[in-house]
Amino acid sequence: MLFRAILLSLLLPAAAGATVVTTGPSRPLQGVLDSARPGDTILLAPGLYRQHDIIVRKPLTIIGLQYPVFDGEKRHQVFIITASNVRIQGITVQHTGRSSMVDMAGIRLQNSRGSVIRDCRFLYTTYAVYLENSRHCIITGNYIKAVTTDELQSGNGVHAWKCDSLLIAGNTISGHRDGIYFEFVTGSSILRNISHNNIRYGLHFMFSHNDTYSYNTFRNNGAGVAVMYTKGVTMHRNTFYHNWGDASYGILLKEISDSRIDSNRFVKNTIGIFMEGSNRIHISGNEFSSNGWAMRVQASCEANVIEGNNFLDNSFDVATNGTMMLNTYKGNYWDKYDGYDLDRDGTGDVPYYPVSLYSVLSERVPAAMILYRSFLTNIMDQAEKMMPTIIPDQLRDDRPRTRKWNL
Amino acid sequence: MKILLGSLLLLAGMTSACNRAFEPIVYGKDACAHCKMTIIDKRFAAEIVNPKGKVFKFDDISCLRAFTAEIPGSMIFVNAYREKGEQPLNAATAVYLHHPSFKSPMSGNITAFAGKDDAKGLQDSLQLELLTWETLP
Repeated sequence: MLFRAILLSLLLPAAAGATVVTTGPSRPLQGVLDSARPGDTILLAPGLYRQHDIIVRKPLTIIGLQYPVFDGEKRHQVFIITASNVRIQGITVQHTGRSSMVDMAGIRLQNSRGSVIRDCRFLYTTYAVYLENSRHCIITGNYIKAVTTDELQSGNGVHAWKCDSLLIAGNTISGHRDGIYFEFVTGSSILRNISHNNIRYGLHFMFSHNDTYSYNTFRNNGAGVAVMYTKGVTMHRNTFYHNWGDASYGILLKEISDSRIDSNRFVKNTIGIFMEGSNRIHISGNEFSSNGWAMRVQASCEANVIEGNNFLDNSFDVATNGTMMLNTYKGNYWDKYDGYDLDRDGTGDVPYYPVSLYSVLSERVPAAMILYRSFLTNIMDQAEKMMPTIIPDQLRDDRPRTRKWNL
Repeated sequence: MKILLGSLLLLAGMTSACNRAFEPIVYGKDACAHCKMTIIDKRFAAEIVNPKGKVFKFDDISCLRAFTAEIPGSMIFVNAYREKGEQPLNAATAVYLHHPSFKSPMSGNITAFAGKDDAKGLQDSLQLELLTWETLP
């Protein structure tokens, strides 16, 4: 009897927590949420919910059946989560408002811990998911799409500010200002996302330390990824494809230190990696193919190691704007290398100078690009390779590979 | 070689030295001269035209202020926070507000206004001090 009483008392709270409430478009969701107990599950019937500024103040699970649609009518925010351990799944959020002072979001998380937003659709939102001062939250499997017009007041797909330990995984994001934006976010992971056709960057870091992004695809953005004023970033196995235009890069590194860029693919970008004021970055095992410039390393960078990469079909392999060279290039494969390998150990016997005379000239006088691939400049390039006078002669790969790395 | 370089320089010089005026910023295309980010937010954009007529564009007023090259004798323009960016303001005569809630691209968070009346609404609601070009942080 006593045993049974204990068992019952143990089971009762669990049973109470498992209440499932089903609701539909005609009933105000806010009321349902407010009367629910923490831990309840709310099931949303399909339909169009003309409801907005719905505040979630308790740990609840909200599951949409066949993607019920929440419409902000281009004037409002939709969900605001102020509790921890909230889970939202399988809903559509569309048409949030725009405002110059308030960043209007589809789902906003404020001071939340351990919340999950998964398998939702965000259509034409200003900001889709906006995380403020939140930790251990998971944003996964969402489809986020906005319009890519010249609407420049648009917001970011996933926007995180002052957060820690986030997981952003498996989302598809397009048409926003930045696909994913991190400002003061630490210890977080960005995995397997596809960020494409965003106006500015696929992914943007500002002052966000010790984060990792891996297995993502950044395609057709204004620029692929911008990592700025940050340290300890791991960039691993991402694809940077066709980020093309004037101020366009695969990766823009500005004031970055102690980071790793390995096993990525840079294909058809105006500039594969642009580096300025960046130190102690290890760049290895990457493939740079068919880019305008594979790398532009400004003279303000030092103690970077570039090794074991493949450079294929780039118009220019490396460009720099100074004569000082404090970075190390070793053991890379350069398809423009025309040296020899007499002992056949796979390493060329004469150094390779990845900076061509022409890239130095065009760095100083951009208009000189008009003469690219003319007969005269080819001769000048060849002459310069024999006796370097203008190109920085310390910038060389002493052990260039003669065979492509199998990456 | 020298002649080639010289003539190219001359060509480049000729195209830029003629008219010294605000050059419209192509949003979403032009890069900030200081931080290299794509300029996208009209509310915070700014521009320097130096004495030789060379144009430097910025995505944040703090980027312009951090960009020290050749500022003396330059024309400095800032976009008005409330306008759409077609008519830039003279940086010296504009008034400014500074507050974290503006969230400018480089976190400089400085906004420009044509005059005291334009700034008044925001100034009162955020309880800020009105700044001038000289007193900017």
